[in-house]
Amino acid sequence: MNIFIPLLIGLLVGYIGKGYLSKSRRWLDILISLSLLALIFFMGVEAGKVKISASWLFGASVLFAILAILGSLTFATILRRLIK
Amino acid sequence: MRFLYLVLVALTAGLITGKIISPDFGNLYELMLYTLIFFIGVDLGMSNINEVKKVSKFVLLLPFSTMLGSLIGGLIASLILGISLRWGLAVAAGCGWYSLTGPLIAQYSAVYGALGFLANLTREIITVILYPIAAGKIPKEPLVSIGGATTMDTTLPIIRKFGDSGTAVVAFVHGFILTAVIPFILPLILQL
Repeated sequence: MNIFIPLLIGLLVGYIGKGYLSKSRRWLDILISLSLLALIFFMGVEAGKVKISASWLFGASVLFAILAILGSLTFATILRRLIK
Repeated sequence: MRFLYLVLVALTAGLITGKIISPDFGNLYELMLYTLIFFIGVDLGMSNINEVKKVSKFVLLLPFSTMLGSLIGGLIASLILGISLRWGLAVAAGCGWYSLTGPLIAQYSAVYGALGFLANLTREIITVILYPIAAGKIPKEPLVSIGGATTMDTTLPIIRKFGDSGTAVVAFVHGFILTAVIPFILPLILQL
């Protein structure tokens, strides 16, 4: 399913029911938190199923992930300073 | 902070369950993701429309700086590991989109396909853990970049939870632009 379908339906529901739903904002936060925890659990299950054949593969993956994150964050910070 | 512990417990419980039992939940993961995206949609719909209007030049340029930063990170990683730049750049260009990066690279090399899959999955997991910790110390908008393409779906909820609805809009636009760009950049790098 396309990610836009639930997002657009949600946007529409939220926009139309703004007045009524604003009273139950706390419940919406609780629902978001609960479904987020469930999603993270399932994400963990999927990651746990991956069979790592060699420690090199695992180490290399962590190195790539960390350096890509650091690179992105550094450039984002530079961009923010340049635009400000 | 208490919610961060719950996130770590959920992630650890999931990892242990996946490792030991390897259950097949079918489409439950996807279903949960769509439910969450729906709730986020409701939340954004209820927000002040001015937050959407605030999408600035910074927000539009952020995905490109994320891609550039990821590629430089990949370049350094391939130099450290002594692997070909072609594979290193391709792995990093995935920007967290493991379901695309893994299979695309695997067409050329199974080992680097596995690396592409695992490195990008690791990036997503690190984002889930790091965003809540760093959100109070680093400005929330540049911090969005750590999630790469995943900020429009899987890591959007965590960004919304520890940021605000304005940051959620930034995250969605960031992930959306990267998702549109990666399928073009990745094959281009692989043809080098």
